[in-house]
Amino acid sequence: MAPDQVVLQLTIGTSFGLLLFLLASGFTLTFGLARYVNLTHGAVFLVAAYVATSLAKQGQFVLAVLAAAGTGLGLSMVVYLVSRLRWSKLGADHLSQVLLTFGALLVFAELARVAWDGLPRSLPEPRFASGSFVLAGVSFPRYRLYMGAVALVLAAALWWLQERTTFGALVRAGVDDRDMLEATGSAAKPLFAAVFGLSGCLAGLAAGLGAPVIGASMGQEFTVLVLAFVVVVLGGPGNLTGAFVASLAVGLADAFGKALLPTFAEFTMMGLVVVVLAWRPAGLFGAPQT
Amino acid sequence: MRRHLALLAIGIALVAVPFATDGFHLVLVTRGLVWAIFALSVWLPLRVLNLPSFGHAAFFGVAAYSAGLAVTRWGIHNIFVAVGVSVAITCLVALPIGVIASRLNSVSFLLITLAFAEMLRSLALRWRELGGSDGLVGVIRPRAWPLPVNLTEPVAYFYLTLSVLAVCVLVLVVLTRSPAGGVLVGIREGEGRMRALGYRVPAYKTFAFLVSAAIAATAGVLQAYLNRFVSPEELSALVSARGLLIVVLAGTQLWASVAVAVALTVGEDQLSSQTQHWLAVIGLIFVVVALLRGDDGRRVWARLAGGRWHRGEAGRPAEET
Amino acid sequence: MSRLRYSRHARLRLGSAALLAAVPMVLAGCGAASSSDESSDESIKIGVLLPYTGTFGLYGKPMEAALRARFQVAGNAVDGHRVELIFEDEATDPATAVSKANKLVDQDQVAAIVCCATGAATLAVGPVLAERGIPQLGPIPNPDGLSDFKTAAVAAPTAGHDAGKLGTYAATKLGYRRAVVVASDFSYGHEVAESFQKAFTTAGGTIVKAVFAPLGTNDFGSYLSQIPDADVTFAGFAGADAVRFVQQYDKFGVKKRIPLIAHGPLVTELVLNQIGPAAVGVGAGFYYSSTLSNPENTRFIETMKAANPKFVPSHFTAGAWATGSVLLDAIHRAHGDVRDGEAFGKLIRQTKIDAPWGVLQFDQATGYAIAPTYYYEVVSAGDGLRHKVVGEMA
Repeated sequence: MAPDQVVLQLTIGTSFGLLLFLLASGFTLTFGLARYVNLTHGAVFLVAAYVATSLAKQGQFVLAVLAAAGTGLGLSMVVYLVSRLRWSKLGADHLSQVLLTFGALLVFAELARVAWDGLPRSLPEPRFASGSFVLAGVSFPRYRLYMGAVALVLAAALWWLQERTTFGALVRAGVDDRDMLEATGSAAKPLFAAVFGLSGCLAGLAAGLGAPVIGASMGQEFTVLVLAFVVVVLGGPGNLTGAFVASLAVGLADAFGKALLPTFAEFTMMGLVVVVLAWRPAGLFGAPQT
Repeated sequence: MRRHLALLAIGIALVAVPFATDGFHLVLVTRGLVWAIFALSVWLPLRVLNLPSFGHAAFFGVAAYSAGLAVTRWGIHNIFVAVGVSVAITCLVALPIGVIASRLNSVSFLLITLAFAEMLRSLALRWRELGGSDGLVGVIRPRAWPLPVNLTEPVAYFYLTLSVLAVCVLVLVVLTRSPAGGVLVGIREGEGRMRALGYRVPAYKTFAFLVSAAIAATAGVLQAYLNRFVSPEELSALVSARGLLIVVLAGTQLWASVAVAVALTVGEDQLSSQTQHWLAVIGLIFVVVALLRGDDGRRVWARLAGGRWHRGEAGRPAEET
Repeated sequence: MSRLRYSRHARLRLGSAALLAAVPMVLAGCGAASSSDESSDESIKIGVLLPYTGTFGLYGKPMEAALRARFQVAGNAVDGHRVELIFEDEATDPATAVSKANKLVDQDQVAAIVCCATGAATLAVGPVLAERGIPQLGPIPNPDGLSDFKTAAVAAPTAGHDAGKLGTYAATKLGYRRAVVVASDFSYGHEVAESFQKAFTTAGGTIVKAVFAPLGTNDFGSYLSQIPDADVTFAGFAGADAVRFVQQYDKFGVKKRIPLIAHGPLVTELVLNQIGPAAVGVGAGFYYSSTLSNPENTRFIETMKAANPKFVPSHFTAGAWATGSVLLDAIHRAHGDVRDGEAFGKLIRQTKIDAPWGVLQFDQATGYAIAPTYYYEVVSAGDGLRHKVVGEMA
């Protein structure tokens, strides 16, 4: 592969990987802290993406992204509140979580289908980030760099939140040892609610930022979910650093896989998963779960 | 005694189905029985090992494709041979998944099994020799030698499916009551303890996984010949979810899965004729079931009926009267 | 191992389970009872299998509306015989399609079934209906494979046929010598790509590169960055992939150096405005465009717009409309007697009517429709993007 092709694939893979991180980070947070498997995450992304594409007039881009974030926040809170109806069961039993969130996924996806007629939709790039420039002899869309940069900034903000704030400390403590967290008197409930909300917000941001590139279309609730799963399992559940590394790895594997072996796209992903899990069953950065 | 009466009643009802229904409903109930067999395969890792698999559609689908290829490409004309070949291929595919998955905790297991099944589905969508998104067509039902039946007749195919279901139930009953079954329950209750006792836990887990994959494969073969084609949708997450739903609704009892599977299949068909939003209704059912699930996997209706029961420790059987 | 003995709660469970097992039997019994009714109804019933849910779920409602509208124009009757349409959801799942097809035949006693909008469902239902002697009529381009069944017909040419015409046109009329082919890696994509390739090379062109991207690819960047120099790119994508591909084709600067042509669905009216300015200048070959001017197309669009001002015409709805015309005509020539499936199927194949794209008639040997193929380009108009028909491809 020519060196400028390598640079090109690196850029494509990294920008996609960063977007993937935004999506997967929310999923891994709810899982790591609340021990909650939230399959609805995919449908939250779907609805948020559709909402973003509804605000497609020029000059509304920022509003579209914020609307998507808000939608994500709202829908995740709905899932949380419904789960609270029977938290004694849903807070602890993964199968119940799977059933509830899969059911919610079906309901939200149907809502999206009815509201937007099941048609694929797109969001135009904002004027301040449109156009292309030349990279490695090829025209490269400016928006992708912008998207990657914003995702990176958000990732940094997330890192800061986790490492440098009390909230983050509580979340980390809760991930490591939930019983201790509750024993020290910190209320778990508001913390869980906040984490659910944050995860939905992040999914919405990913949907909004990604809308000019990947748009909104039915079926995304599943494809996006699979990608999130892979990232979370590879990176270790609850681990943000792990999710970051895994997202980049998946993004790059996808880009290089398509460029080098276009017929075997799925296998590069499956192969990556098998190799990593065979070497580290708990994920790259995961601690062995009890 | 009562249990045996109930089982007998269900058995008689099933055997009598062809005499009480028309062609369309007979095929529908046959379809329900195929789902019942599939649900049994999900029952094993879930109820015995507490491992919820969201990827059993992978085994269902791989076996369905093998069965289809058996009659269209590989020149196999006997259903027993087809089942054998398909189950063998499926177990080969299941082995690496089982080995990896048995080293994961239950959530990672769930996620990875789902991811694998979805990847296999997108592979099937692209694999042109298998028909790609059009699916594998022209699948004819093979012969049933040495049995003197013609499987192209719906009634004969119904009884074949019923018999296979009975065999699978028997296999699971024998397994759960065997020493190996005891080890599996021990693993569910305390993996660390079993390891300390010297049992090779990953080996047992993989073994149970393979048995469940084989049962799912059998369901897949029956599905392929029932429909006379195979489509990539046999590998979708909805298939796996349906299996889980049936097992959860049915509780710990094996035979209840059969009743629930048939009821769900018929119900879904009626529902989709009534409204185009039937997927959302199914979704709501999932949500309600999740909210109303009893502890120890007890049945949703018992809770709805307002009966009191004991909240024993996880896994302890119901109190004796 | 301990055996469970039964407390009150367990008995309750057993009772509910037995009841549950009885329910399907009762349902089945009821079903048997109603379907053994001798049909004393005068009305002719036509079954329609459409996807209302699943990946292709967006086509169900619009196609139903178009079919209903066509029958409504005829007063829902032919020569005094009432015609009833029965719609079922095939859920973009072939197994469901087969199940519903059986239900329509067994329980509703339909005389023919319109099926389907998805290739897999059509091919799955084919042998079932052929076995039962019930005519099958496909409303939109379907894959090859139905020609084996004498009672089946498709009211549209195959996708490969139109793509092949485009291949010849591109090499001869448009004067392209070297082409790149990019298509979706599933049966539709392969069908159009192969047909285009064959026709293009037969007419003297060369294919410089052929790439297939998995269905649902989000990011075509890696593929687009590798497109070599050529005279034209032929694309075979549909749905959400079409939107993303055309947009990214432009964003990655490929459109500047290589023009893009495609099989119709890439720039179908349903997604044209979502693609945006990137679609301007893209050429397509297809049997239908909403901007075709003929009386039937005008009648079709005006009728649909009267019922729903936001109606967007596309080959899906135009095909459904034409299917209605075919059925009405065939029933008329059958003098209202459609009980003989084989005869009815023959009459369907002998139909020749005006469809929104011109004359529709069937190839007697294969059952697939013979229709004109047009070449059109996407242009910018006052309120968005639309097609501009350049001409008919010979």
